[in-house]
Amino acid sequence: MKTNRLWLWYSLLTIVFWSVWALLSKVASDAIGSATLQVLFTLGSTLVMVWLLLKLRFRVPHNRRGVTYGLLNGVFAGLGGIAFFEALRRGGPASLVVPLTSLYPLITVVLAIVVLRERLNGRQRAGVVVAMVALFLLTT
Amino acid sequence: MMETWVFFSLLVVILWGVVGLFQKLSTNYVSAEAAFVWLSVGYFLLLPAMFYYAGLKLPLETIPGWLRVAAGTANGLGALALFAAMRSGGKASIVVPLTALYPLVTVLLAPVLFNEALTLRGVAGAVLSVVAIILLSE
Repeated sequence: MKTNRLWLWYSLLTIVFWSVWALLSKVASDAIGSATLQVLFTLGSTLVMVWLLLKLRFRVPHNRRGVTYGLLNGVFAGLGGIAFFEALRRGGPASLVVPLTSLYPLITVVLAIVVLRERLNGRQRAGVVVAMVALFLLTT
Repeated sequence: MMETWVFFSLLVVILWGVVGLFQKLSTNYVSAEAAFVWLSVGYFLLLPAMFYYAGLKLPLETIPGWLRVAAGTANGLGALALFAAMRSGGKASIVVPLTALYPLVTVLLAPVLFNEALTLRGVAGAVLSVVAIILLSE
């Protein structure tokens, strides 16, 4: 185990935080569920942002590309949220919209391979496929 | 003729899929903390559009304030950890599918917390999630 596994622990930490998020949102309301999550994100992430701004003493690294991609993250995530609402508003049943939209990692994988030239070995490729099947089962 | 909700669902898949790419790209240039701050700024830029779109009829008032803040904070910390994963060398093509498996915990805890029945489908999904995590964690 010579390789740096820090990324893995951070990824698992993400799973922990996001499950807390999902559970709290579920407590909040079963009826509105995931549709509201996007808005919750904006409001709730304010605290985290303020904490980080204080930590950075308001000197946020502003490499031009870093800023551009960072802003695009927020805008695209938000637009995705609006599209999510819209799918539900136009009669899409949550029982179909949720599993369908949870397949978004597939697009990331394709883009990462094409644009970022990331390479996956056989085991990792199998992992992606199993993850997608698992997600489908978990969300339906 | 495709139903419009299908179109919007696919749009979600594309937009959120692209986000995964931008997350990795942003952490190629700035720290996880900075990436999160800029993500939030991008999100705030979009707020007027969101409120206009939603006509302020989002059912937020039905949710207790502290839950809203707690849920949002948990979400934000999750995103921050994801940026940290990418910043410390995690590939977008692995970190994004891996972190998307978070419903695993919800499905397993729902019977305990909400007295919901654990379905066979849920158990299968949870087992496959663990398999996927092991395969992706190489």
